[in-house]
Amino acid sequence: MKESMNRPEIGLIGLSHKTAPVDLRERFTLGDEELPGFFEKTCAEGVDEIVYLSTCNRVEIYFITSDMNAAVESVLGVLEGVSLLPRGKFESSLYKKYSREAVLHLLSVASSLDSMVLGENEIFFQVKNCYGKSVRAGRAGTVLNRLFHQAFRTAKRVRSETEISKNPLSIAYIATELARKIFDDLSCQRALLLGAGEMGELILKYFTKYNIGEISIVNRSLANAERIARDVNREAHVVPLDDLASAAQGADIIIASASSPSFLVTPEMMRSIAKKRGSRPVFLIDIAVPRNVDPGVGRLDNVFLYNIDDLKSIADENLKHRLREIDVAEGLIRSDADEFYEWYAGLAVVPAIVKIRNEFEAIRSGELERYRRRKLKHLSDDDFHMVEDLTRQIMTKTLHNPITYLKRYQTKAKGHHDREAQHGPGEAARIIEELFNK
Amino acid sequence: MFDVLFITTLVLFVVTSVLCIYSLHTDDDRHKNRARLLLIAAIATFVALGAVRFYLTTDDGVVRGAFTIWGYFYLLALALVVLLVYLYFSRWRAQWWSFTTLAVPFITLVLIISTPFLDSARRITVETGHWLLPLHIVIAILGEIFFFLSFIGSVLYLVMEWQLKKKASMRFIFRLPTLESIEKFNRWAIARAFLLLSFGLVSGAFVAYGVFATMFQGSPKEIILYASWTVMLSLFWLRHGGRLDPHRASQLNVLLFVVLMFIFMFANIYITMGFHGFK
Repeated sequence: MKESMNRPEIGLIGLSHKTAPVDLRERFTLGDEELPGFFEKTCAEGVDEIVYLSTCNRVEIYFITSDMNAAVESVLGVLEGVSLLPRGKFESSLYKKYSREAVLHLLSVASSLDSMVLGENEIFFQVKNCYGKSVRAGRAGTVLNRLFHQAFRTAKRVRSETEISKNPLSIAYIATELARKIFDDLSCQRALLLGAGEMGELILKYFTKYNIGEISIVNRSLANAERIARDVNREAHVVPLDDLASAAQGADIIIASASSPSFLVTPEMMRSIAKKRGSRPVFLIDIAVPRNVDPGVGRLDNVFLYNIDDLKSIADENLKHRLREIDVAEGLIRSDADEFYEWYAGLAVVPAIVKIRNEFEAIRSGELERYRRRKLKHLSDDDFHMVEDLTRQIMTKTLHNPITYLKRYQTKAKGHHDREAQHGPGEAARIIEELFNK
Repeated sequence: MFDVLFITTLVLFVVTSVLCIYSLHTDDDRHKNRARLLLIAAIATFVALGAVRFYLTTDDGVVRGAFTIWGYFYLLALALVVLLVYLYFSRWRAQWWSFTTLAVPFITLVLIISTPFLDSARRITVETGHWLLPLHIVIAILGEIFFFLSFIGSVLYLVMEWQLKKKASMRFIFRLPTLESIEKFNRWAIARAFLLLSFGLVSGAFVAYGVFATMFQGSPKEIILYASWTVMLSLFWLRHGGRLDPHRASQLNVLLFVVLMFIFMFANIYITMGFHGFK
């Protein structure tokens, strides 16, 4: 664990899909009504600022403290109470990060580099939402405000300057996107769901998000078909399996997910359908195993057939492409973390500068006041203001060198992220503060 | 001055063509923006080039300038530039960049082909001043350009269809317009090409009758032209009635365009027989 320091330090304690199973993660999830109590307890013992981040894949607590040991103990103690588990049961699944490591981690999380689905966009809004709760509770101060805003900027940069969020990874989403590259306007198209498979239903739900025109559901059991229609919350034509050929005639998109030992859609059937459709294309998504659509159908002109393997290989290809972008994204994150740290390192010298200035100002004004009462009585107000200006000038010039030295020291630390360099400005500030202490 | 401007224009178009194709390959917005800026610069010098040629160094004017070989090529490229600008402001704006990336190399090709004829004195021999002649030339060139647009659309359709059937990657697919919109564009372009080329043919026949007292002289180019028009009529009829699937229609479109381009561009220069030739 990190040693205690005088200046505020950034800390992170968390657990994610990489370190803990969902049954453990869910024990640390807090409802909105529990948050004020959680903040109250952690801040009572050494934590100055705090943000509680909770998503389906992670629970993380970011905090600022001047006493890291006490803060970590406080957070762990509160987590024990939240999870109702003894510390030994979860401590091995926790990760603790401090200073720059914590900054880099938050920037990676917000940029979706640490997500289960690399490059997904949802995490950005989840981080923003959780940060907003801390702000509203008055628990995010100068450092965490700056840190989270930096994280949002970095996430936007990573999304716009790399291709990490481009090219979808989910099978259902890929199927929808393919349909959107074939048809101009999905609201004018008719979708047909063949069978009541779970995946087929999911794909149909995706299509309804894009406001697909008409929906037909073809199934052996009409009751199941009606249940799906209710689930997707749309009006649908429910058709028995025997009428597949006539129902398929009007369909532009066919999602096949029926359990059948033989092909339900054959090239002969499709050829006659395609003939009647004229030049309008047909998109078939066959996610059933065994397959519902004869592969020969895909060779027909104006007919586009994708089976589960085709969709999966596209997802794999897209993932490979996203993985190739990781290096570029990490470079952006490192440079943004540097930018944040430069500002953060500067914070260490600000109190010292203010303190020295105040100290000198107190001496100057005190002495001047004493002299005015005794030896400078004869001076008019104008002359006294002149003397006041003169002493202020002398003070400013005297302090110029030590302040410049502090600022220069801070700039020298920029780019050196080892512990010594990072703490350099703080140490210099401490020495200078002590030099001028009474 | 003209030579320097021509070289500048050519270099700009070559670089823009490379960048257009590269931007399609990489799908990088930065390359796309650079290509767009270069295209604006190339078009500006191209327009200046025409002004210098037709109004400063000669007094031909644009239409009469088309009576020379270089002027004919310039007018062809100019018509394409004008149509690209029109497409940008039309309902095809979403598909505009895809068409432009293929059209810019074509303009470059036209400029390169025209290079040996920069100083050529060869002209179309029909200079009777028939009032229909300039109209015939402009209509025919516009028809060719619309036909060229349908050619680009057909190439895009075949590429998109091939990519969708190949099922390898979605990255390239995402850079192209939707299959349905390409097909709609093709129908739009072919309808206009057919109409304009039909008018071109009729106006040409009237000019020939006025000058030679016959509508048909039986030259090889006239025969190929009438045959192509008949094929185009069938293509238009099949495509618009939904009687031919877009795949076959696109293949036919590409083939027919190559044949017509041969007639319009090369036959006019190298087969000097008949009144279309530059002599």
